[in-house]
Amino acid sequence: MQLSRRAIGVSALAAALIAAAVGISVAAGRDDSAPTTAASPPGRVVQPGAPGQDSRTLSPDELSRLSAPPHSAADAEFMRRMVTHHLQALELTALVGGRSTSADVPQLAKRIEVSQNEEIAQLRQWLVDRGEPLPEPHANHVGHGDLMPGMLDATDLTALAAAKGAAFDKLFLELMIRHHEGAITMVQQLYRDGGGVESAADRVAREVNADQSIEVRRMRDMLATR
Amino acid sequence: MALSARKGIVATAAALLVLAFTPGVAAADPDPRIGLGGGWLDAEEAASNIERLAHVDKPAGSFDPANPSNFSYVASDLAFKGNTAFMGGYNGFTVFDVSNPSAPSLLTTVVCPGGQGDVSVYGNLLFMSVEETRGRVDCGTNPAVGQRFQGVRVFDISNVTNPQQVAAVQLCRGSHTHSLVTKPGDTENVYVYVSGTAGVRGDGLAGCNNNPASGVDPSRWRIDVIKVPVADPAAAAVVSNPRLFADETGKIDGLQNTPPTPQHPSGSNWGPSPITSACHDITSYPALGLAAGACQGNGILIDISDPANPKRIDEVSDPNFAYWHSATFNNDGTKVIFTDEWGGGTGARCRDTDQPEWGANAIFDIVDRKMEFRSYYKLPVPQTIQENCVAHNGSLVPVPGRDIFVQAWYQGGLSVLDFTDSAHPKEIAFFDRGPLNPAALSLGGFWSTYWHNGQVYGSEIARGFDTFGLKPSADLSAAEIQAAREVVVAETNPQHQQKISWTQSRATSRATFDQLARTCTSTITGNRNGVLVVDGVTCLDGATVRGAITVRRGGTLLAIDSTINGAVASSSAAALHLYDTTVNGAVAVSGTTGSLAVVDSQLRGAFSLSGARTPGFASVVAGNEISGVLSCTGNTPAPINVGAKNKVRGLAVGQCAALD
Repeated sequence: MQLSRRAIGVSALAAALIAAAVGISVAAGRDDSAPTTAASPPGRVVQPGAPGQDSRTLSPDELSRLSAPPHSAADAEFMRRMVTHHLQALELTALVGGRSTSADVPQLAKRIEVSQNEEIAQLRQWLVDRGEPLPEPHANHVGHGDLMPGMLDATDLTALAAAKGAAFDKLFLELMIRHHEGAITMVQQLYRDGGGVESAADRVAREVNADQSIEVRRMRDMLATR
Repeated sequence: MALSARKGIVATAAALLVLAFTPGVAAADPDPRIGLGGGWLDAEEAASNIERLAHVDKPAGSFDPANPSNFSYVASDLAFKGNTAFMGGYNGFTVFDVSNPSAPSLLTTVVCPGGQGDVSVYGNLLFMSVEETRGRVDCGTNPAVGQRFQGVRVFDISNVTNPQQVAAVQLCRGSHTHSLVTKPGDTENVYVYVSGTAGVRGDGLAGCNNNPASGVDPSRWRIDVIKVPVADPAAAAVVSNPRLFADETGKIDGLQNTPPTPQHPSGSNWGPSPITSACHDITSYPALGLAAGACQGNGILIDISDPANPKRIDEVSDPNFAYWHSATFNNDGTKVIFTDEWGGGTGARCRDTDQPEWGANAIFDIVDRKMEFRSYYKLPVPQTIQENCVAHNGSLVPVPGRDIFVQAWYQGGLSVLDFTDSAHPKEIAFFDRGPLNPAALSLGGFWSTYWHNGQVYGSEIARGFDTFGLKPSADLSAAEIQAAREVVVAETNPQHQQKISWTQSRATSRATFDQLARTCTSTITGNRNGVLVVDGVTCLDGATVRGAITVRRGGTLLAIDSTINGAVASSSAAALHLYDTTVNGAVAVSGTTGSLAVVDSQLRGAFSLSGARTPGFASVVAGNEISGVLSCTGNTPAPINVGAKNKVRGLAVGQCAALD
């Protein structure tokens, strides 16, 4: 991220003049002489131990060597695979129009479509921000690489494409539950493999987990009434 | 301006009386918060009725110089003990000395990663929430080794420059937030209500499972209650896992399980989704035996009279709310503000296209222990798409007689709102900075802005720690601010609300005057001849009344900087307040029902004060020169002089015998 250090601008001065008349202040931050900031003397840096152990004071050298966990190869692979995984969910929702005749399944499919698209954007952004390669464009096509948990094969997709009405709804729900549960399994695998330790990766993985869990629950309820 | 303190107050109040009748005051156009230049440590700032006193950058070890928005170093919540402020964060917590709020100093940086680092203090103990998988029991920074920790840490902070970890309570979903709960009369224990919103951990911690709501002892759909013996905090342990979301059939997922509509009313997907499987944050108010839970899909009211066994007594949902995030009671416990963290705090949700009921506060009245919706309040100015912005954490500002809330809106800055009239909340002060990164949305802004012992403090996610002082305005007088500043508490944890009571003082009395002055039904500023009969709220501001004044039953007389050439007689008035006023005649006041104050005035005749029944407001007779007899009888409470003796040339008798 590139952050600017900008001086107070003409527009800000104009705003300040207007604002002064009504008791509102506008000021540029650090370089302004008004209410300001003492450079605080560096306080002590302490790292506690486990309960019962003494805290340690860190030297400047130790402090400079501290870092937050970086993202791992497992994180990057998770993001890439999840993009691919989510894209297949969109293939399923694309089949709903013209096949489902109920009110609730198209509504659910719409919701899934929106959330998968938002998450795909999030996953891609995470990869871009870290200079990680994006997934190959056709990685979700059946026959590419190892099958991820919950991924559907050609037989499933053909069967769904051929179904209509109530039979379609039921199969759609069953397949989407299986597909989503696969995503949840992938989250669990991520943590099992030592991933999700970088704060941002942890956050993304948790959101994927929460969203799929909520949708699975909703789909189970819908399936139970059919 | 070189006004003396006393004259300054007078001038302000005089302005107030005038302003009360001037519509449309102080509406700056355009709002100075629009178009602020951005930057990390040099963004432009705009403020109204509040001033930034000081800023301290995040210290080394608690930020990433290459990326100030790095999620691993987010600064989060605040807690206070005396002159010490504790700022939590994802990488540990930071301790500041705020003895001089205009020059806070850094005392200690504590390295102990695990997010989100929500902190509370209780005596010599500090509690901290940990939810990330990188957390380690021993505060280590390398998660590849050591024992994982997700839960609540307890530190001994008797030496704030060397905190020691004394307990670490592991929990199935870690701790996203936590809230202290105490039982009036029990000083030996403190309880911690833990809200965990992360997925159930998968590292085999005993008793943790992902069972569905119908399964055996699910780790979701509950809160965790930790009991901490104050004398032996190492013995802190979970004592219960209340199922606060159960319905009458016993189903533990009895509250909202699907969003109220397929999409958020904005047309976007729900995010976060309002599904109730945990609370996000809980605010306890032990003096009332109540807590308010902001629980993802619902706002709930909880009976906490038995802290280990809380019971839900009411619940609400809202079609505009994406995520019930936090709660704050007013001091009387008759209102509660809930916030909606639509977009999770990382999204720009204060765009000019966002409706005022989205990502806002919802204000409820509490009537017979049930919540009744009154209004929404949203930051009343749009922010750019480079600024994450939505309702976030705040606390009460203890102005007697009013309900005032200072609240963080991430990069929307801070907004001070008056919700005394819960159906018509109104902004009365603000502070804002330009975007952290004008080129893209980079995480930043205020996580929390809280009042503590006279000042407002802010924790800025990416920039550090700020201190603020409120400034007098038409909406908040110098005396009201002073009255709030006179409230001194040992600790401030806004999610553990204490009942504030005010010791009556010059400032609290004058605050009452200032509040009444906003309700004047007639105002006299020049000369007036003849007898004046007061009904309604009659206000004299620099007036000269040539004649006697009679205040009728239920009427209110306010006078400041005025001269009354005649007697003043008042019987069963609602209120009577004379400030810096000369009365050339006798003053006889009986049976006042609301409030009564005669301050810094010259009374050339006798002054009799009798039969006032003014609950919660002892009649104030202070700093006057009284030429005749001062006689007080049968007033409840008895009159006081708030430390400012009267000069009485005659005698001071009865209840006022000691007021000269």
